[in-house]
Amino acid sequence: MTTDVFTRYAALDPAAEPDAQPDWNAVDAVLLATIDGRATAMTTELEHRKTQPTRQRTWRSAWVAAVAFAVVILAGIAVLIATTNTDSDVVDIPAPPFDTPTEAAAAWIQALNQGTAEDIHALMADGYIGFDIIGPTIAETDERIRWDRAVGVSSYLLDSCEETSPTSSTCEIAVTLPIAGLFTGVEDRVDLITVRLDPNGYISSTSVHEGPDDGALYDLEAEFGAWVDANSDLTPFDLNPRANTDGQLEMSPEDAAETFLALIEQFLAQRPG
Amino acid sequence: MPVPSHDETFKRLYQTHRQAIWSYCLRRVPRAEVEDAVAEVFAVAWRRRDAAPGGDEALLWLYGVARNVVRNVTRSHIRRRRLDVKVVSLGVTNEVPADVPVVRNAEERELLQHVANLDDDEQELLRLRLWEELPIADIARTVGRSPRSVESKLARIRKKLARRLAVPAGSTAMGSPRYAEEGGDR
Repeated sequence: MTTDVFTRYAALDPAAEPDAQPDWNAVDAVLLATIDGRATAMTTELEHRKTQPTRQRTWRSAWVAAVAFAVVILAGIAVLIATTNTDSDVVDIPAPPFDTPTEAAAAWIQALNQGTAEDIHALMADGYIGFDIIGPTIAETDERIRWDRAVGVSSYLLDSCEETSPTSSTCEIAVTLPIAGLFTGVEDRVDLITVRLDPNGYISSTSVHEGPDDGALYDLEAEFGAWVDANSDLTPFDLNPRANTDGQLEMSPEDAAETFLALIEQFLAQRPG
Repeated sequence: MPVPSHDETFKRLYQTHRQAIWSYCLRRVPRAEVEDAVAEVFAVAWRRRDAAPGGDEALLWLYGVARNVVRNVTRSHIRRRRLDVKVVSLGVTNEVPADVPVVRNAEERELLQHVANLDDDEQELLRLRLWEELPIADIARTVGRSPRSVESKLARIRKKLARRLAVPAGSTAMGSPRYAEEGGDR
């Protein structure tokens, strides 16, 4: 008789081992030190920074000053161009608090397509749970949206939202995923997404309610990741800000996206079938 | 009835869910770092306590926080391992984690090795389903996929593992279970 592989794996749960015992004293000590010490540590660090400003070499200061001057000049030129441009690209994204989850969904999709990372974060409640486009910091979200745009991801809210409660709305979203197109030949899809509001009118979570079967796509992505690891000096961590969870790509998101796409083409070209 | 203060609410969150979060971390990070990871999860929860949902949602929310903490721990381990690989010039990848506590026999070790060879998302789905014992809908919310996708992906993982386990180690041309399964039923 053979036992199902899932049943066998479930039985290997390390947390179910008799000697798996937490050390709550250690957890409590670290947690309390973190909670109680955070304000003090921050103050100390700031004080420390204030006392450190004069260690730089003079040539370096002069160089920094020259660069700063150039930046100021360039910024001035940029402001001049922006203010004299009558076809300004400023995007007007509705701001929270939202009265209905459907309004929030529309603002969210607009922010994903046209907004900045700040625009996207501004819609979200603290502790938002949902898509990995939202990084832990604005800088990381910025990397992700720039990467998405460089590979051609776009989303559109279809006119189909159904409010399932005063704080929850489920909407159809058409998504174009060119990378999926490269892997499977299908880049357009429709996902059913649920958007929820917190009591203050901010988006607390978004989740996929229903969507296409992505099993084949995930398999190919995993195979591609292993191929990149084996055949280049790079890893998926270096090429995709979502995989790089500390949010520090060593190249620009645009360069990473370009390299990512080029490697997909190489991968597909060498792949049998 | 007095409204609970932040401290009391947070204390309750911690007391109610710390065991589940400890188990979650134990299943994913080296044993020596589990307590630190749990403390970090609740430190993040403390900073974001205004956003913490109540009731059943709270644990899912904490799993979301824990997932990020574990990723960072894992990421630093990968970096460290790469450094070790460079130093000793040994190409070691996807080992069964040294901290898996008790492996009773060769079959179990083989199964753990095959699971370790799955990609990170697949391993996470497997653990959420079989070790955290979350329903499909909750897994879907935690990982940001549709329930249908999660279900289908789990079915593929089951098939993949069963197929790999059916191939005796070293019996393929490349000596690799992955190579053997790629000509399968795709």
